[in-house]
Amino acid sequence: MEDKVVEIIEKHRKDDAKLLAILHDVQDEFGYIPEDAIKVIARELKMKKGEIYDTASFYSFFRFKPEGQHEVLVCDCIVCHIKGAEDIIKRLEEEFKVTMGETTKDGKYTFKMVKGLGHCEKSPVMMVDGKLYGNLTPERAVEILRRCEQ
Amino acid sequence: MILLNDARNIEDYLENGGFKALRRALEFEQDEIISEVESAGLVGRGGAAFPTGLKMKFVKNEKNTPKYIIANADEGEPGTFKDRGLMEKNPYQILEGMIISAYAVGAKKGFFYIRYEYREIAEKIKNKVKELHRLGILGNNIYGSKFSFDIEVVLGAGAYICGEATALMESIEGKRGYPRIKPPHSTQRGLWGKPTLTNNVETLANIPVIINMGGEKYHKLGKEGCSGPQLFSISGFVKRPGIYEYILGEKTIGEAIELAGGVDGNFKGVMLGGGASGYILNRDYLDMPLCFSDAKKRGVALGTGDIIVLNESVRIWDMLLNIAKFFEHESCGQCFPCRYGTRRMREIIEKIVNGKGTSEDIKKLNATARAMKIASLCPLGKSAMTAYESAMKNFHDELMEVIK
Repeated sequence: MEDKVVEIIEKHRKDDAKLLAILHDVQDEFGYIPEDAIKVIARELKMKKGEIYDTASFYSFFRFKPEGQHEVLVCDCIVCHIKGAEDIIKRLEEEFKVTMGETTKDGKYTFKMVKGLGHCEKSPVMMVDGKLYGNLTPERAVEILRRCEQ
Repeated sequence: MILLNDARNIEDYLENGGFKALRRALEFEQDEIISEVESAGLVGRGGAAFPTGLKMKFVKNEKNTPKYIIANADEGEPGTFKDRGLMEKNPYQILEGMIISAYAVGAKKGFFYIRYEYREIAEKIKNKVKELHRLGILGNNIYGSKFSFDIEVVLGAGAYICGEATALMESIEGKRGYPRIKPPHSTQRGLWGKPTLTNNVETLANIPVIINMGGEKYHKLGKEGCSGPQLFSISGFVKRPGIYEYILGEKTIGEAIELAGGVDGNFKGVMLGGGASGYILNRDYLDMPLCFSDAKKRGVALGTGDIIVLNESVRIWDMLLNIAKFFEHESCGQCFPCRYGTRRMREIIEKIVNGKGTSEDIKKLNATARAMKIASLCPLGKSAMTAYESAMKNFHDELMEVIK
């Protein structure tokens, strides 16, 4: 792991805004930010481990343990909310036996409730592995996720 | 269309006169550019409506170097998606505006900060920055001039507060997105303590337009108290939701709704200027022109330019609870009035939604709103209760109906 993290750090060595960029790349590489990676970053950037964790833990999209195979972001911003996001969330929670923020038992999906994906013209929306799905109904949301399984 | 033109490729952009403004600007004195922007009457499109020319002047007049410029594309306000549309359709106009602004204030380095949710767009902007390097439009001696400038694209990681300029700077510096105490203002001491110009991406896209048509002529677009084009994110219960571009002051809220296909269902009201920090308004506001000064006269603001249309299926307390949860989650936790106030506001509203609200609770909410407005460190805490207060004024009977 160390070599890979060092390689990522080298890629951003010349950037002025390094830390977030490094953390993003580490997370892309390993699926989360492992503690060992934080150690390497701290050593290379001459910072304390705590300082790096202090920054990283502030941001919603950085994670520190492995998650499900697919990341499902369900939007409950005000626009999605008035257009039925609550029903979608309820249905997904029943169907996949989770509450928002959790990973399904089989490790396939991690569900997160977010507020504002920035596609309100298609509300209600969700994002699966970076791909946006709009004009959802509870049924359609389930159907889209079931299709991911195949 | 002045802003929302479709020019995704450099060929399309150049064909329609792209970068002509930059070449012209490079022959101007720095002060000349700033005075064009000032006479245009352009104000920021990120929500605060601060005069852009004045901000540029502050940074230009600072002696401390190096200076920085930031394009703020951390579009986190719920209900707002116009920056996304602009970056997708017309990215070069933003970059051109950024380069011209950098030249005008004397910045050699710029940061383009994009929210995590727009990751794909960030990748595209990165490629465009590389492309402009190859074409000599970025990098050393732009168009053979003495001016050199470079842009670094920074991807956020999910924090509403980073839309606030000083929190955004902390984030670029690799820290938690905590807003700074002002003064000093970031125009004096911004990124790494150096003078920094921060502009919303839509604001930047107006700069080439002003250079091309001249400040005076641009100023005539619109009416007294508001000039130029503005993008509006129209969503909610409307038949054709989307991004619409209008000259400020030309359309009323009601007309904008009609042009977006009209209301889906029976009209109840709108949320204006932001889906969290905006105002909840009733039908009395339908005849209000979309103009900064008209909004101000009525005690509201255009904010980030969104209009969320509400029909009769929407319950106002339920909306307020959603907004309160949003602020409780997004409060950065640095200052007490906001950290505790947003939590208290959510707890009380939750109680009311559950049918247990009393007149005592309303008193507590009002007191919380007042305290947060006076004592919060940054605009997040100061605006968290705007929706509640405006709803109390405009939907008083509905809100009080459930209070024992």
